[in-house]
Amino acid sequence: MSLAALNSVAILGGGVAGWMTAGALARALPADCTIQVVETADSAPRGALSTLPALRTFHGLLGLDEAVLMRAARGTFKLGARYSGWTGSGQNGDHVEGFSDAGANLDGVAFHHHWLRARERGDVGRYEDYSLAAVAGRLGRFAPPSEDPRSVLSTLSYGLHLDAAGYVAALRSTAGRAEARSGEIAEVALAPDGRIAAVTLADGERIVADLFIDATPDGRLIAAMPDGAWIDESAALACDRLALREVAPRANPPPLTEFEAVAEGWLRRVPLRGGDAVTLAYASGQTSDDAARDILGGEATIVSLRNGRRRRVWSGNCLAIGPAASQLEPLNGDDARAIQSGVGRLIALLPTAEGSPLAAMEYNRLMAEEQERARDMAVFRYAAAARTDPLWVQARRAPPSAALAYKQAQFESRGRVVLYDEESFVEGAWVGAFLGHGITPRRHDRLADRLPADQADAALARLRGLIRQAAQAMPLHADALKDRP
Amino acid sequence: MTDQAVRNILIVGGGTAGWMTAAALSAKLAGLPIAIRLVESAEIGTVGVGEATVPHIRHFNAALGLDEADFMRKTQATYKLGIEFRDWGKLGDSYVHPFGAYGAAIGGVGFHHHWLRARQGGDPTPLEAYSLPIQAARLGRFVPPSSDPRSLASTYSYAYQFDAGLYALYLRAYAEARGVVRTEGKVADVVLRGEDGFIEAITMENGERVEADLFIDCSGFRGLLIEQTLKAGYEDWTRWLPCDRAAAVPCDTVEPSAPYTRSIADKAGWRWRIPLQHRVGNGYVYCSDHISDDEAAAALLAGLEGKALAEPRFLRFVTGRRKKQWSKNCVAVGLSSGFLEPLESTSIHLIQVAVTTLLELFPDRGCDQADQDEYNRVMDLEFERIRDFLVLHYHATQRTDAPFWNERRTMSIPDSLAYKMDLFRERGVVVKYKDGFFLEPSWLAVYLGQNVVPRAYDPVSDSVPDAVLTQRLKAIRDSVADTTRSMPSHADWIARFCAAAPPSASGEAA
Repeated sequence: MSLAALNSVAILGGGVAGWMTAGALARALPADCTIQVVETADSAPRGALSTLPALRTFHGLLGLDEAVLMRAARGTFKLGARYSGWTGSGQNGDHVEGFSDAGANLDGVAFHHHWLRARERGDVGRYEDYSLAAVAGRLGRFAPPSEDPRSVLSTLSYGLHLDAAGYVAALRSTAGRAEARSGEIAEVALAPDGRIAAVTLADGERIVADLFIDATPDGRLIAAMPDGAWIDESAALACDRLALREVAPRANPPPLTEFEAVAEGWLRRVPLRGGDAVTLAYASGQTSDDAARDILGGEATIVSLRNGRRRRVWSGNCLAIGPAASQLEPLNGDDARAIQSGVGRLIALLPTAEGSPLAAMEYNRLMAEEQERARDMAVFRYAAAARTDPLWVQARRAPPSAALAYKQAQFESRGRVVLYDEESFVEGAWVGAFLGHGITPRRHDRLADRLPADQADAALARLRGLIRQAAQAMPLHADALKDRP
Repeated sequence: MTDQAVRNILIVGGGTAGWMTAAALSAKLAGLPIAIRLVESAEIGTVGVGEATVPHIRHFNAALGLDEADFMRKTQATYKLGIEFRDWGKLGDSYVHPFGAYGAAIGGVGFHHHWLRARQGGDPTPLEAYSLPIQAARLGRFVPPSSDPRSLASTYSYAYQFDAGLYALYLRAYAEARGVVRTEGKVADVVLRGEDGFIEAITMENGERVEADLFIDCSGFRGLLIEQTLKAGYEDWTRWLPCDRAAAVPCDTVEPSAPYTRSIADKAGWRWRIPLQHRVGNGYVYCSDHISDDEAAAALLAGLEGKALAEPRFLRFVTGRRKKQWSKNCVAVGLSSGFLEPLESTSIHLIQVAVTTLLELFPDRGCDQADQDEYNRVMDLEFERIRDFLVLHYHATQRTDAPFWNERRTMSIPDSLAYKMDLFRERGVVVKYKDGFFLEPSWLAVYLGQNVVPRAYDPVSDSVPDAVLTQRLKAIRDSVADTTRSMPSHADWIARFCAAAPPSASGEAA
């Protein structure tokens, strides 16, 4: 048998992080390993999630039927994200980053080089006009991807907008073997070797387990561990509060998460069935909670946010997942990404009962790198803004990471997308973000010039027309949702 | 933009590197007003011995549009399913590093964890019983993989063993047909531009001056442009990979050619055996501190299966990497960019990566520093990750029969490799990364083949009940055995598909 297999896992905290972990472990762990969840009051789910297509793979692994999930979590479809207000000059500065790669690989050269080249000669439209997801998103239309690779619909992929409380309810149904109770953490007792000996709850119960998962919002367990210190990222990401409010639904909401830069920070609108979840991210030093409520037009739930990450998210027999491990203002539309990879990597590196320190070290390395690359995407969005409000100016003054500076310099030089080892965003996502936020390479790939200019122009025009037609033929998002009751 | 566009490229040096570069550039830059010229001297020998490759070369050939059967006939090529390593872990050991995965994941857990679990439970079946390419190699069978992803026969890949000199000739004809101009002669001088130190031109021994916007240095170990002229610097890796010489000799074929390369660990290095259609390429890569040239040549000749077809030829090298593989307007491709011994057949692969990356980052005449930086970053990673994999072969040995192996077993290794090995020993975890050539099955083959065995397997394996696991393992094993038995012999497949004519005297370019 394996060296003393894991016999017990205790998840403290609950919420989306706790229940995604419980659901995945319930599937993966051998039947004789117990899973216990202690739900603390402060981990109750709030607000909405705007997620990447990759999360749907996770649902597949859990055996969570998408229609059931969408019903439980008031789900809607997401074809991408719209960003507006970044130039600070009204309506002109908006763009959509869609979940389908733009255009097509022409003559073995990435599409954006052909677009850059054609643009030197004349108006060929926006880059997003060549992404079916972006065009359909703007038109408020949705259709599922086609499996026929010849169909333009096969270029689509989609994510989901989910109500967090409903999502937790659906996840809970997949974790039937986990024992759940509610309780508050009174004490975390460390053994002399630095591992957690037990967690005592307010009612006196002592939780003992081979592995403790910290799914609390503030990392109460992991902060007690050696090297559990927090690395603060607030210099470049200054928002430290989220105000959440739900407003009346629109008749046909676009299948997009909408971000709008404002003086105080940024607003996010996530369409759910029966209402839009609106979030304001702001800095408490510059904007009061009351002012935030005024911006949202009424009562709002205020949640604190600490951009950054734990130096070590796995230490001894304690592993943090979710906000206890890392926090990143939800500006990329990648909610639950860090949780999904945190759980996935835990299962891939599952320790033995006495602990696997090297597996933990590898886990920490991978999670840190992934989180830094995702943070780079958010930091880039601030760096690329032309706004002159104090919060935005201050963010731009913070030096970018060396990795981001290099990545941006490479794109600016010749449209090269540098992808490091643990990237959550694919090449097309970076191209969409760079071009959308107005970063234009100085040169296109010379190999694009092989294609005669008139042929390239014709190919681009044909693609754009094809995509427009395909998008217009899709049902309205509201109707697509009715078809999936 | 147009006025800054590269208009002409000069490749200095032919050989495998020069002609692979010329062929790829002539194919991928076709349609652009760029002239490509190559200068080489017939007096300067090329290193090309019998050469084994990795499966990526098929992408390279496909991108050029080469006809596989024609290419194989003209280069005396055989198929390669992997490399057999003899005597590396212990004397008498044999394992094959295959071009394909072992078994298949069960319950979302990597196959090797289940195998380790069965082994801890007393099942003595070797890992290679679950590898189709290894079983086929051991039995001397070959058929191209199936394109049906559901079929077991789709789970492996293959490469070639060919005469590198003939491959260079083949690509030369290809490149010349696409407009590459070849100039015979030696380079006498290299002229630098005063203002920025870029290479302006080379002068040939006959006095001809050849200018270009972009220079590709394929001059071999000496690095005529990149080192002797631009002083790019060299990072020496001999503390980890101390072999510094090789002796090579072809011999007669005495048995049907095998679909795999063999590497035999010897007293002071290792010997290769690469079966081609018309002969077998042999060599001994050794460390001159531990054996003399004469002793090495004697050991090489003693190990030949057939009559030697020439006197042994000697090569000298320093393992390492050029600090800047792209400097100013000069890109080093092939041995001028660095040297890693051909233990895992990566020499041609590194040429391929260099040319592909150069095309991805094709510069204008200014050779933007950003292009150079990115090229050097990509190539540095590629070299380093191959280096670690090679060092693993030497370090993970239990041999105590020779001072050379005692040194390798006890040497300090790069931190990046120590980390990987420790992680594997603890829990069977193979470190994954995006860039770099060798993936999980390769690391598994060498770790387990050289007796680096994890203390524990993935606990999630226990989710699969014992009876189910036993039955699944047997099913995979049986399926591998059945599929292998149905394959034709390697010799039959070659005879049917790509039999070469017997070599003419002039065809022996290597």
